[in-house]
Amino acid sequence: MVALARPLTAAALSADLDFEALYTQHVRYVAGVVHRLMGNDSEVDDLVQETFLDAIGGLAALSDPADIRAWLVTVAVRRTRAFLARRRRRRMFAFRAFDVVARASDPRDRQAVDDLYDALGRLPEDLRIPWILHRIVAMNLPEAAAACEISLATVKRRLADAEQRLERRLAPPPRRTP
Amino acid sequence: MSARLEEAIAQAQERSFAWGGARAAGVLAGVTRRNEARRRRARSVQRALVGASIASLFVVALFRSGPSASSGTPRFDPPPSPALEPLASPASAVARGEPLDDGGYARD
Repeated sequence: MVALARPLTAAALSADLDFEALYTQHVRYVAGVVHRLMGNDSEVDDLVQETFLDAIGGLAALSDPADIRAWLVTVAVRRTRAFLARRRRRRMFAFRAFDVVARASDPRDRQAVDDLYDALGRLPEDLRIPWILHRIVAMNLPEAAAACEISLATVKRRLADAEQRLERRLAPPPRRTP
Repeated sequence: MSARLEEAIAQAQERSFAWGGARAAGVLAGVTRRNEARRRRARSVQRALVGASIASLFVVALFRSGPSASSGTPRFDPPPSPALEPLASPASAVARGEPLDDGGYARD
């Protein structure tokens, strides 16, 4: 595989698309976003695979090849949201336990992050995804709004809502007085 | 934002994510394989559609042309029906001065 030093141009995309080069250039970033959205490693490979499979079909319709990374993130977010919604529905009917996959290799890192992702797992996808993109992936607000395909005002409202719920869930339980 | 949430965010940002060459290559191989399978499926659907449309055109053409000379079944052409003469009414017969046919009643 050949790593590209410069971004793909429109001509390269339209004439002879080197999909392998496109993949090499962007897969690490896309996989990182999916990993942070999911909170663990268990489904990342499948979601990345589906993202790039969708990308093959949609590249011809891409109007601005300069924004290809943002577009790939949008496709990945769409895929991840559908997966999370499906998993939530399955859990509702099957009463399955939450994931038991180790989320971090270093046990010292686990507690705070696991608590955070447990709390995020109880949020609806529409609140969870923009919050993670903004706070953990460190996208700015317009980027997060574009990736979620919602307006800036909506993303701000959802961030505030998600933050409020997370604070409530992560707050230590009140001490009982005897 | 609470200190606990800020600490969790910082840890989540710093958490390592292993994405090696073998893993990337495996995902790419999966994408390529599934894309090929999708292409094959699309091609077979396309072939089936083309086959079905050709077959339907052939059937339509067959029905529209009727039996051919080589099929051995002669076309049935019914003979023209003879033209019926209009019935002569009694009033027109009287006007022409013809005797009325009373069916032999007058003789009795």
